[in-house]
Amino acid sequence: MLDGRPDSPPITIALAKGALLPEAIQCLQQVGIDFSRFLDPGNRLLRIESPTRLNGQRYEALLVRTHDVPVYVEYGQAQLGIVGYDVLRERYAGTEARVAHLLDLQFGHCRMSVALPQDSPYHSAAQLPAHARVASKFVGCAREYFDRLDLPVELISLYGSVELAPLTGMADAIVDLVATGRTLRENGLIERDCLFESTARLIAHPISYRVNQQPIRELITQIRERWLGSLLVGG
Amino acid sequence: MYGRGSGAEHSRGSGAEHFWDPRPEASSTVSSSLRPPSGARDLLPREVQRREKLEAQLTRVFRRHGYQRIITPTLERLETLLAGGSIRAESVLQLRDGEGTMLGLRPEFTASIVRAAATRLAGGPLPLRLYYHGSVFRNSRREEGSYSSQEFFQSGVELIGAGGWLADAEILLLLADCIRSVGISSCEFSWTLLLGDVSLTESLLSAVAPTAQAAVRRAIAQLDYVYLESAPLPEAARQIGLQILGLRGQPGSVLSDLAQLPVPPERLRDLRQLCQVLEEHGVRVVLDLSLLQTLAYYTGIVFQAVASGEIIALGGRYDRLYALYSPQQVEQPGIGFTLLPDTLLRLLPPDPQTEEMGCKRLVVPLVPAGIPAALALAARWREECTAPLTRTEAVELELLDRAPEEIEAYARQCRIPEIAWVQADGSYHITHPG
Repeated sequence: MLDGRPDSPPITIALAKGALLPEAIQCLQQVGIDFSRFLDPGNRLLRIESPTRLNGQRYEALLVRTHDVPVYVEYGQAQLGIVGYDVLRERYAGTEARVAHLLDLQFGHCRMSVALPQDSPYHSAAQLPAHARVASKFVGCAREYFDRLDLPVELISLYGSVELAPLTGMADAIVDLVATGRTLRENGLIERDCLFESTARLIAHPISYRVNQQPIRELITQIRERWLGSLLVGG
Repeated sequence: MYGRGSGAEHSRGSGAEHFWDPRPEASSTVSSSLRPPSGARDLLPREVQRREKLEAQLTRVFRRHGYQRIITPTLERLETLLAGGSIRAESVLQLRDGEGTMLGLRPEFTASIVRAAATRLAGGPLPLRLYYHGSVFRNSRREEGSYSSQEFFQSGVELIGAGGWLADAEILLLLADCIRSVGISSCEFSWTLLLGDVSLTESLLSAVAPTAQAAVRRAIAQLDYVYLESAPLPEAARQIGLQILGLRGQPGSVLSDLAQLPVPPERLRDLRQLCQVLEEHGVRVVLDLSLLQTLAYYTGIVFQAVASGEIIALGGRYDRLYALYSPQQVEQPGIGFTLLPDTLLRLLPPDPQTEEMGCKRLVVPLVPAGIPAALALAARWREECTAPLTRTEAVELELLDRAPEEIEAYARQCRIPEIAWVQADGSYHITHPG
């Protein structure tokens, strides 16, 4: 049982490579869990244990690709994970979430939006003609949105540079993550509809959380006080 | 060894040409089209052996507790399977019979068993104690939005006609007995019983505005704290949702918290007695009022047995299901659980006895005249096997025209420790292939 005793097994947290990593590490550092080694340019390790403990509880982290965070948590290889809400919405589009959403960590702010070319005759997603082509890395989110609009569209799944699709004439619109909107503007696109706002979330493996919630609850209390509290004061 | 034709040219009898195309390009097409559909699978002998052993262990426990086996049809009328709307139609693999009636492959056993109990077994002595082993079929939604069918094995019990905490205790102690008997408790991980009570949770939820109830219930079931904290909900609904999510932990402390809340005192008393009995029998219980099972027919306790982060069994009380199938709308309480053999077998370490694929002896007629003696010897040895039949007590007869060294290689490959070489006069000698 994960009861915080020094000899109990570590709680494993899946962390996403990329944009969210520095702030995820900073958030955990605020509560006394140190995975800063992942930020070391020479680091090659994908699994490390924090040299510090929280209330005697050991913590280790797995460094994985963003979209793999909920997978590691869902299958119980990590009891916790820090990942963007956009990733969760995409993985569980049209299905029930198989991870517990414990806390909004209030960083990594962005939004999932529909963008159209500036010279497009359409000014919102709802105006698009039936069977318009929409390109996205987030086809699950896009499908869910257009289904809600009751608008049949042809979804084109891409893995990168989605902004190119309208430029080349392959798509009439895109669904993508937007932070500042600069990339869209530089590529002659304009944000028209927001599907949802996204921030980093602390997620958990539901069974592990139900069975061994005490140390995780303690962690959440500390994050609320030391991380979210500091954001409120600073913000 | 004893020279005869392979017989392959006669193996398919007359009319074989209608379904057998000897052309090589045809055979490759056939092989790819004869794979099981996505989500279904073949169980090969070694897996079957482990599964049979597990089923036999569970059967012994079920019978010790007075349960009898029931076998219900794999195919049922769709309306039977939907259990009055408790099961989503899209989760059922559906087909239509010749008369246009919608049928389905069972997605779980309870509805079929309660249907049989309320019709074929109605008027008999109560309570009914029934157990089952078999396959269930689900239509599961994939991430990309399409559906895939899946086949699962399940073993479980239904106790029909007994309500109250003592019947709940019988079922949960039977579950504990099953888990002990298959050896989960002796593994490096232990198991935990997550125990909820739908009636208590629903009585707390009844204070939530009807418009917000479904959303709050979904958030509780999915442990979605973020939704409850940030969604535009009435403040009272938010607080009740978060309060229910907080009612989880050691039974004593959760029961104390519940005593301060507007819940039926008799339910609380029953739950306290149940938890006490479970504790006395060494069952580790986490009382969890946020445990809302996905099946809508549950009315009382709901539970999951979990080990190593996985659900190994789940079940609950369903006191309103029987009346749906009873021609006279008679009500009978019911409770049951399903064990998940696929998960159990994944968690349990391989059993070296079960893993032993070899048979004890291979009987080889050295000449055609030795065949009758070889058959007689094999028959005699098989009769001498008084131990429960497992593959290790088997006696095989050599059927192929193979040289001695090929036979020995086969015996080594199949881990057969003894070969009996039979002469025409019935005498034999035994060798042990290295």
